[in-house]
Amino acid sequence: MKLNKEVFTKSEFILSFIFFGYFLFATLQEHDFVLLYFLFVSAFIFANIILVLVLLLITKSKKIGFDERDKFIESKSYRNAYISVVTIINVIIIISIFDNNIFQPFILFNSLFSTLFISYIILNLTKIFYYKRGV
Amino acid sequence: MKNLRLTNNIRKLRFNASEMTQQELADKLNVSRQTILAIEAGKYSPTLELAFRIAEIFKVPLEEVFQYNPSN
Repeated sequence: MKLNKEVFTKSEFILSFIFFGYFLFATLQEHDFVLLYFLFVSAFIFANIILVLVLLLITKSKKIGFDERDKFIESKSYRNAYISVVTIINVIIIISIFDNNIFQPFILFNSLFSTLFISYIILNLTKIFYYKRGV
Repeated sequence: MKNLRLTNNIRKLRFNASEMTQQELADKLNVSRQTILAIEAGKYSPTLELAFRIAEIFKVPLEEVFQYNPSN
């Protein structure tokens, strides 16, 4: 038996949303941000592994099912995520022309990290959208 | 958005093939049940390869499984 990719995508979206929320909360507190990023990325990877294992155990599946529809949806969603990354980075570049404060490491790292996270959320959100609406 | 131009008779063919379930068809095609559901509902147009495999399973020509209606 194979785990449904749609269920996995939904769980992944919820997980990334929780992590991004926590990330925004953590950055508001003044921590050592290099350590924060390191811990955050490690925790996110670890949480994803746990999520896969738990879902496989709950559904009594041996692997995650992946067919041509999933592949098609994934390619479309990656395109959307790529567009969002390029757009946000362009906005950051435009802002940096007018405001040199953005070149401070804390702000720059935060904005890049947030860009990646937002694009990851967009990736999962568009995947759910295509699963619901159809491609 | 439903792809109304491409219609199919998979549900009817399944019924005629001794009431084959979506899961049984999905297992034969090595795809998920949700993919079969999406094809039947017109939410997903399968690749040419999958379309031919579906026709092969029901032992009918491809035109009997999928119909293209340009007027819709």
